[in-house]
Amino acid sequence: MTSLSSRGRLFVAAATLAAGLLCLAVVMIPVAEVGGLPAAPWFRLALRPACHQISDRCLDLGSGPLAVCARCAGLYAGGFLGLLVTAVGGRRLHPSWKIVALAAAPSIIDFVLGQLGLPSLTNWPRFSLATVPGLLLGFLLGDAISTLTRKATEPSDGSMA
Amino acid sequence: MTNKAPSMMMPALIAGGSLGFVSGIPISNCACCLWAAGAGFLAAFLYSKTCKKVGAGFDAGKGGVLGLLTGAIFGVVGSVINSAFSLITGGLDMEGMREAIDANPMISDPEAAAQAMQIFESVGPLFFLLIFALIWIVSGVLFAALGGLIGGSAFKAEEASNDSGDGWTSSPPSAPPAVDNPPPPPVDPSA
Repeated sequence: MTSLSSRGRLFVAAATLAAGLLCLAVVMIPVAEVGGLPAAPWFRLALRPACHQISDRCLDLGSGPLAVCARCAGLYAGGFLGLLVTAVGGRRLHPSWKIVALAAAPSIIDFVLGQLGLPSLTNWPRFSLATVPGLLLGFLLGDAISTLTRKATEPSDGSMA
Repeated sequence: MTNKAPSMMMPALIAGGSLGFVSGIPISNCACCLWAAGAGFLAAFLYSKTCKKVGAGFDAGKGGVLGLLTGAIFGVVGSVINSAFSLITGGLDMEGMREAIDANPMISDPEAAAQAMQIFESVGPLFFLLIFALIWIVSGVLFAALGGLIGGSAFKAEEASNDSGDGWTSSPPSAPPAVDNPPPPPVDPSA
């Protein structure tokens, strides 16, 4: 684990803000639809390429189905948390891809079971399971942003061994 | 010393092509963003293995670029396969389109639904296939770039230095001139 540069931290914070806005949109779209906001269906449609949005598979917090399915919501929430931890902690966290694969395994198994028509999890467990790989991917994304920032700001000296 | 980076085309073709194909099949497209992000991630994995073999470096920056390339291939393959399925199975016929319009939460007004159907009838299903393909490609590129970026971080590979003298062979260096000739005479420190 190495510390983030101030600039790197700034960019990770910006990504965290973007991820937070995405999560907020996912939750607020059904609320806005109930409130009669004309743009709300457009926002839901904008997330359509990212998720199937099947109502039965979306969490319902009281205002109708969220704008993405439970699994996607878990991934987004986990990703947001991962970026937030990186930005607040100021440290680059770099989980091994094997740990990420292990964390994603339950969600993958659940997905495959669902595709095969076998009984699969309900929405809340599906959400909870997806937050774990989401969190780890958030760490990796924070690390990637930090690397990009470092490469973009460091002097381009190709002569060093 | 830098080692020559291998071509990104092969991992992009393998990952983008295979996952694009799978995602294009209507039965499996319920995880659209994950297929695309997964394609970028898989391409990063494949590319990092090649980079390690030749001793070239791989990081998030290259992963992002690789993800963009993979996403473009993913989008093209996925949209072609999906369009083909739609045309074969008649998924974009008038009835199918009417059902899609009825199910669309944006079109709650029956008059607007009728107008949408009129537009559909006048431009034909191929136009909608094209629009759908464009959306597929754009979203594929975005998500695969994200997957490639994350993959670049997960499968980071350090550039191998060629001066260890341990018999490690790699591609010829690109930046400084190759040291094929006898070594230069030692420099006099007092000079």
